[in-house]
Parts: sequence; structure tokens; C-alpha cells
Amino acid sequence: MTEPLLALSSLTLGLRMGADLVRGLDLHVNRGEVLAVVGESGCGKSMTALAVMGLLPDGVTRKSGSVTLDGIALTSLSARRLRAIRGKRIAMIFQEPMTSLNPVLTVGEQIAEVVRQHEGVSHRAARARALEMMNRVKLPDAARRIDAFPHQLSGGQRQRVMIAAALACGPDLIIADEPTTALDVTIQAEVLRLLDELRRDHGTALMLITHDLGVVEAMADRVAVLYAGVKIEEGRVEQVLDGPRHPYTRMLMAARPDADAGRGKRLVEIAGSVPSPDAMPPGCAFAPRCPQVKPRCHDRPPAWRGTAEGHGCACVLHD
Amino acid sequence: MSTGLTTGATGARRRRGRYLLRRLGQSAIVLGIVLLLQFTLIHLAPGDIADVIAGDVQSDDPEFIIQLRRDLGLDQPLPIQFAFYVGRLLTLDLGTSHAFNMPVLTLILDRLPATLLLMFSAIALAFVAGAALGTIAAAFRGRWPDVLVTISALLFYATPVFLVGIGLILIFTVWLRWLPMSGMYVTWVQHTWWSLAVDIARHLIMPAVSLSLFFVAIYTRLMRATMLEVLSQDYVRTAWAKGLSPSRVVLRHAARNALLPMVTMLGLQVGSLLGGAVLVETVFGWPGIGRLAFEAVFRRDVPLVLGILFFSSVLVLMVNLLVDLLYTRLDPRIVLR
Repeated sequence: MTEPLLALSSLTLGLRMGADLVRGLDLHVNRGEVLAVVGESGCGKSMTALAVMGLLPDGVTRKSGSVTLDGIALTSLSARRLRAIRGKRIAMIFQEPMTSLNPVLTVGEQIAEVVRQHEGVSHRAARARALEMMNRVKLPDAARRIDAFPHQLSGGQRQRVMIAAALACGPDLIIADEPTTALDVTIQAEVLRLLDELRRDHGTALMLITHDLGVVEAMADRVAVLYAGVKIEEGRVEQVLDGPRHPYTRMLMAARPDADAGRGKRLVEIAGSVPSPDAMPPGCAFAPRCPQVKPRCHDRPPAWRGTAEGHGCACVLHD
Repeated sequence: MSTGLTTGATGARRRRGRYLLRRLGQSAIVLGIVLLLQFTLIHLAPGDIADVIAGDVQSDDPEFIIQLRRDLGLDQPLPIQFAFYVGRLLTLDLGTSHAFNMPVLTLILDRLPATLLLMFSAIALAFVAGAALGTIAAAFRGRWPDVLVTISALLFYATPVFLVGIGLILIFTVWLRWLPMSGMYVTWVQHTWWSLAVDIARHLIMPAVSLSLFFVAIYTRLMRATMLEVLSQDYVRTAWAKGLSPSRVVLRHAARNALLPMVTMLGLQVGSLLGGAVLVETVFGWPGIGRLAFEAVFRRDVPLVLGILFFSSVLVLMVNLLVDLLYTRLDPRIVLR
């Protein structure tokens, strides 16, 4: 087996002098594949993404574990060398296209600056590349829009600009944090399809953070389910969606509005809420909400059990 | 879908022209109100020029004073006096200063360039230094550069202008003998254009620095606060995610967005800057409007005081109009209406 492009090993993130937000996370993304990271809000998905970029917000810090890209330990790189990788080999697309673009710079400048930073090309060449990228993300009338400011574009167009900037330097990996959550439903599919198309053309891997299982089914090769900062299930999309093993994953699927089983019935909801990071139960984090809870679930966290086919799960039911 | 794109440059120019016209109209109305207030305030003070002139010529003859009042039009009711005053203003006749025995307009125009030079050097210095210091403080939040800048700003803020002036004179004139103590240029040498410019610049340093320090403090604190807010915005995170260098992120992405409140402050402070100019011009013997105002008030020279107030009001209004036009340069989202 070849080495994965991106590997997170026993990554623990937490508040400085405080609770842990992500605990002992192992994840990997292979070259050219799409890994979906799924979970409720607050489960540590976005923090994980920011940790890969080395952009954890003030107050949150990596307590242990490592992030490796193509054999390079990102977590022990100097700030300068990490900057050379950000935007060049790993690019990130954020949730809110409204606020993620700088309001006082034209969209063309915001795409071109990535190219200028990493490839040291002239102003003119960078602008030409920006125009090319804008055409590639199918922004209508790109030649004129290149000098437009973000507020002159719609939400979907802005997210296309973000995608153009992310792909401008031909990265190996794109991290997309809920890239379509803020967009109209009608545009979501269009933007995702575009992202997938361009990604395939470039052979770029994608780490897609989402809570939408429909998106996972349509786009991802593999999926990892996070709950309260812990990975509870991971496998190929068809394995996980067709045969979910963890009770939480099963309930997530039952809670989908478009789940076939649920048609005509009331939507299922998951009773209770995610425990807060400073009040984690000593055992399985999902135990307080789990319908199949056993006494031993409360004792200590369940061990990770994987199958030969790469379908793993952390639950005592599969011990 | 994209109205901002479809309206071309000509549309923008026409909109700007209309906007300018309307703003000028508004400014005229504001100016009228300001004049009325100034006029009323001055006449609320007991005594008038007739008393002063009578005192100057050491006469206590009531007949003389009544005659003087009639000649000066002071026996008319105040509204009529005001109407006459405004009428004369419209023909740029600001009256005659009895203290200097010269037309007020000539006096003011003589002194105006010196004050404008002082004010704009001071405000430019304050703006640039404040923006730079505030940016440094925000970029190094909580570390020693931030502490140093914050403490200095507090010092600048708390030190009275005249104290700064005297301190500077002590250091740079008395001890180091680097800079001239007062005036605007030396009169006893033959100047070429170049040597005159250098001489004025040397005389300008200390007054401009003293006048600006308080404003440096204000701009530093404002810039620091705004930068801290801007640095936590999503688009700054995007800029980091692109792998841009810290200087690029801070200067290109953050500082430009932080400048808008700074420019607003600039417009608001021209007025208080004029107030500060009175003190600084007095301390440094700078031949500007500030010192003229000081003398005019002490000698109860009503036409001169009113004339200076008129010019200051016009100046403040013009600067604020300029500031609003500058907004559109800084923030493309702002459209003039």
C-alpha cells in the first residue's frame, strides 16, 4: 500500500489549559481521493481542518499528535516553510463566501495574489492565471468580473471565486469546510459538482467537511464520522452508509429527511445533545444518548476495531 | 443581478457630481447656522467694540460712545446687524479689524497659509504615525511592542500641548541647539526658494510635533482597536490560508480595512486641531490664525473673531466633504447618494 497524502496521527487539540476538543484523532487522505468528515456541529470537524492548515484560532492548541503531508511533518515545520505549503500544496475553502473574501480587493487580485506569492510570477502573468481560473470555475463574463469586488457577486459566484483561488496553484489537497452550507439549495449541487469536476481534472485530493450525508453519498470515496472530538466510525462510503456499525451513525442516517426508510414517517431525532468538552463522560462519549447502551460503556472509551476491508468502528457492540 | 457592474464610469461620475452639488448645498446651510450661533454667542458677552475703542482712546464721554455705536451700526437690533453681517460676507467683506486697523480678510489671508501648513503637517504626521504604531501594536498584541506603544500613546494622550512644546524647546533648542525656537523663518538672511523651504521646515518640526502628539495617541489607539477587530475577520483567515507572508496579510488585507474609521476620525478632528493650533502657535510664535484668534479675543476685536470663526467653519466643512469623497476610494462598497 502506498503512503497516504495526508495523515493525522493521534491528534489531540484543546483549549490552552482547558478541555480537549479533538481527542486522539487518526485520519488519512489518499492521493486523489475524497474523504468526507461528518458530524454534528461542535464535534471538532472544523478545528481538525484548521489544525492541518496550522491556523488554529487563538486559545486553541495542538496538545499532541502530528499532521504529515506527503512525508513532511507539518506540525514541526517553521512558520516560513509552512507558509510555502499553505495555498500551494494544501488549499482551503471556507464555509462563508460572504465574509471569506476581502471586501476592498477585487476578486481578480484575490486569486492572483496566491499565484504571485507561491510562483513569483509577474503581475501580468498572475492576472492572466486568475482570468483562466475564473473561466475554469465557469464564472460568466470573467473578463469583466475580474475587476469586480466581492459585494458585486452573488453567494454562489463568490464561492466559485474561492474555488478558483484554492485551485490556482494546483494543490495536492483541498480542504473544504462546509463549502455549500451558506448557499441556496439550488446552487449547492452546482458548486459541489464544479468542485468535484475540477478536482478530478487536477487529480487533487479533497477533505470535505460536511454534515450532509447526501453530499457524502454523492461525492466521497471514504467517510469518517466524528462525535464529540472522537472518530467513531470510518470506512468506504458504501460500507458505512449501507452497513453503519456505530449506533450514532445509524441514528444520523435515520435522521436524514430523505432517508428512504423515513419516507412518510416522522423524522427521527437523536435525543439529548453532544456533551460539552469540559464535561466528557469517562466512557464512550455517545453513551448518554445511545439507545443500545451497556453498563460497561460508561467505564472507559471503547477500543477501535477495524475490518480487513478498512471499515472501522469504536463501539463495544463490535468487540 | 450586478447593478454595480453595469453602470459604467460615466454614471459614476455623474452621480459624484450630483452628490457634490447636494453636499455643497448642505454645507451652506450648516455654515449659516454656525454663523448665527457664533454671532449670537459673541453678542451675549457684555460690552462691545465701542466700549473697547472708547477705552483705547481713554474717553468716557457718553455722547462719543453713542456716536461710535451709531457709526458702527451697533444701535440696530441684533437680527438686523446679523443680516447686514451676512450680506457683507456674501461679498467677501469681513469688515475691518480695529485692533490691527486692517481689513479682516487681508489679516486672515496673510496668516492662513502658515496655519494650514502647520495643521496639515501635524495631522499627516498624526495619521501616519498613529496608523503605523497602531498596526504594530495590534500585530504584536500582548507582547512588548504592544506594551511599549500602548504606554507611549497614553503618555502622549495625557501630556498637555504647551508642556510638550516647552519640553521640545528645552531639548532641541536650549540643550542640543538643533532647531530654532520660534517663528516661521529667519528674516535677516537673503533666501533662495530652496533655503527658504528648508528654513521653514526646520521651524515647522517642533510646532507640528507638539500639535500632533495628542492626535498620534488617539489614532494609535483607534488603529490598534480596529486592527484587532479586522485581524479576526474571516477574510484575514483566508489570507493566511493562502500562505501569504505576515506583512502582506497585515498590510494588504487588514490595514486597508482598518483605515476607514481612521479617516472618519480625521474629518471629526480638524476642529479640535484648530483649537490646539491656538496654543501651539502661541508657544512657538508661529505666525498663524491661531495666534491671531488669541489676540483678537483678548482685544475684543469682534469682526476679526467672527472672520476667523467663519474661515475655520469653512475649513472644517471642506475637510469633511473631502473625507466623504475619500471613503469611496477606500471602500468600494460605499456608493455616494
